[in-house]
Amino acid sequence: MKYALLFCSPVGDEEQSPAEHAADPRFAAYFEEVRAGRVTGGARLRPAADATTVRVRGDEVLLSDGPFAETKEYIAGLAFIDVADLDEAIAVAARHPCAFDGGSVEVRPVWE
Amino acid sequence: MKYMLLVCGDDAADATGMAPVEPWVEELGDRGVRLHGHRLALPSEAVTVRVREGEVLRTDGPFAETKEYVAGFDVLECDSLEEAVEAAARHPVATIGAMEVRPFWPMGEGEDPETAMRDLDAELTEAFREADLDRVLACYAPDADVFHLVDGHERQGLDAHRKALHDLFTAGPVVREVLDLGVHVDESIGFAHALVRLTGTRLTRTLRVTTGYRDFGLRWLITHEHAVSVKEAR
Repeated sequence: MKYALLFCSPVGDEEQSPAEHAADPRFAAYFEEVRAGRVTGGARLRPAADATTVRVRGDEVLLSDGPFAETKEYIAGLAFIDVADLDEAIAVAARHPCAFDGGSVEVRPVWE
Repeated sequence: MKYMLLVCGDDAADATGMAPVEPWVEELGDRGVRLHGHRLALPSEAVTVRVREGEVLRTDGPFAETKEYVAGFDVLECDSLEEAVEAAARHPVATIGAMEVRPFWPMGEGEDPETAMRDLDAELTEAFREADLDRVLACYAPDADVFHLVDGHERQGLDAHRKALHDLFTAGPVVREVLDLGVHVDESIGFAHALVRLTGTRLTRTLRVTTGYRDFGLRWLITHEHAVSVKEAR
């Protein structure tokens, strides 16, 4: 089954770059032991401050800086996984450092 | 540059007048702006996972209760943020919900998947030059599916490949030349086609090689390789 994982980090924490993540042994463990064969795609996203939110109301295009909602955690990245069931998806999510660095991982089925 | 479009729906909004999304998907796909995307199940089907002091805490629902919620994603390839914003503004959901446009944060300069695949091919060439069997095989996933049809002889599997390389390397130095290499990549999977010339002490052989790659997290590896010998093109 296909799931999306939304990796959410607390707003205001210092953000590690992808290169810093690559050097972090906990990420290395996730990459080596969890990711291979399960993750089919995904992305690390620039910090929420780099987001632009677009709304169209009537004929007007409204732009605002920042993410679509002010939340305590924001989406730092996401991954698409193909696993047997929800339990395996949760097990994958629980191995991602985002889940234990004060953040969370949202697991959501892909609409099929 | 790659941009992530977070498509945010709003349950409270009236979606009856909203245009269908398919024409947007089709047009941007045809122009090569939209690479791929997914629609997600409703947030009520989400499970949020937190690990605190070694304990896995599971809650039903999305990571945050918000008026608008992430309903899907689209990955865009655009020259600029303006182009991405323009594409977002034309998405029908923008009229009732919101589109969050966020640039990808790549690993670093020159570390895109295409470069990783080309580097892996260069590593193969170097490993041939050194006649280093283990170095060649380190470019392959352990369960790689390798099929070679060379001079009428079929070889299948990594073990057969290892044996053939061993024979090749012990017969003397081999020069691996890549005459033409085309690489295509999408997310965690890539493929390449190449014309490879092997020049040894006793023979020259040109192979048409099709290679499949997979992203193993910190590195890309060959998962499929299909090679046939062809008559030397002149």
